[in-house]
Amino acid sequence: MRATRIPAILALAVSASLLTPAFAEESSTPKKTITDINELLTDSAAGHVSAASLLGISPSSVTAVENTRGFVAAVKGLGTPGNSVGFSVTPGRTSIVPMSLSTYDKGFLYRLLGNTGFSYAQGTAKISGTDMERRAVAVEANATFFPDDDPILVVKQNKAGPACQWDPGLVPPGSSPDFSEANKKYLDCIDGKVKKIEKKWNISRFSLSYGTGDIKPEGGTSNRLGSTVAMGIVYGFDGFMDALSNGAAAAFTLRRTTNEPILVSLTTASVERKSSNLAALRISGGSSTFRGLAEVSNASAGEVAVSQRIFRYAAGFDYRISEGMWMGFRIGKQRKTSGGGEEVASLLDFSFSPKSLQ
Amino acid sequence: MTISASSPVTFAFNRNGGADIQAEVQVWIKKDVFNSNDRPVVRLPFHEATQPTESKQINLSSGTYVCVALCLVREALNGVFDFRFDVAGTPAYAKNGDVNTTPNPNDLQNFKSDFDLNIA
Repeated sequence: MRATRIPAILALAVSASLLTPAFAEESSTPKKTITDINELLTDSAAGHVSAASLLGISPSSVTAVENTRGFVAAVKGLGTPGNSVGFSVTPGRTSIVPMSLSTYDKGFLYRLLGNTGFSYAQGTAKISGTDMERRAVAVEANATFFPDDDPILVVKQNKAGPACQWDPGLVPPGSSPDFSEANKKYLDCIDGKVKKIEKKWNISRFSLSYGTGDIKPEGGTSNRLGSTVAMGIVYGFDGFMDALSNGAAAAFTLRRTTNEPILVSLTTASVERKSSNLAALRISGGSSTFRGLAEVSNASAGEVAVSQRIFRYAAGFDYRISEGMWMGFRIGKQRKTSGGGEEVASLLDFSFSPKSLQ
Repeated sequence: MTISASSPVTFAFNRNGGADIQAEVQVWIKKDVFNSNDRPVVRLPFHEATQPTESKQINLSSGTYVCVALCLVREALNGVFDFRFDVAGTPAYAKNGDVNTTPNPNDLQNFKSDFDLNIA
């Protein structure tokens, strides 16, 4: 997205920020009784379509590590030439290849496996004056470093307190009991523990991704995008002073890309390719619904490949519009596709994560 | 269903799947009509949702009892569940399925079954 769109984007961003008082008012009302277990869902970060971010459809430089959903869909840039769509599926969380809770609890590697998702994304972009169609597929795994930070494992005794226990009361033989009160008490207990975890939005996590795809100039032939392996670590400053451990996070991403096409060569007869390494660091501060951030990467000078068409440095925010729906805004500088210097760029995207579509 | 056993009796609860399965067995002395003053001989909770098997052993006097098996299955990692109550090694009540029956992320379902237990 180019600088010429910034005024419209800023207008949208300002409109979004005006929503904040409504949420503040909602959070100040007395805590209501849980009647719907949907309310127990942890929603501390935007849904994530890794194929999109791995292969350059999103220019944000840091691969976010977030809660896994059974199914995530995202639509970005509606009404602009850069439309893109994507979805991801996490088999272990569906009935396709379900993982058992006891297996999930065996350790970090099992939690990583249970949170392994497959994603697909496609989109268009104008590069060097030529419309490009891009498609990408990816596999991504992520897990919290500590089981106590995993909302799925709140069924166990953890840092958030002793295990919740379902108490159905006395049920004489032949009776037709009403379990609604017992269920509600149990769900309230689970909810309390999930909320304690949810408060800590900067949970220390690890992610690993692999992706590949292709890119095709309008009317041209398709070219492989090469392949990308990325590793992400979020560190929530566990054990440091409260202000840091409760309200700050450092996210570090390493990415290795091989045989990636040089963007400006895509419209020529001979496509040039290169391999590259990218490191990016994001420092965030804020709450579970709004956080400001600054990020920097080592996107190199010279000819620009797809994965390097990202922000070299940027500032912005993530804002939770409602449960499962996030808006992100970034403004910063990225390499020009011509390779000659930098240009101001901005990004406004919306992410929506349906809770379960199986 | 009637299960015959001798004391002490082992009650085992087996679970599998990505759902959170909470269970309890209440053992009552068998009688024709129960009133509000009646109490079970023992309540056996099974709350370790990440454990594939939990078992408890109890001593019961000779006689006939009614066991009430109770379950809450809540969608967690996913909604798939498979559980079985065993009494003295004999399967007494089992269910399996998927509680994830709506687009919502955390569906739940309760289950209940009564069966007789004869202690020699």
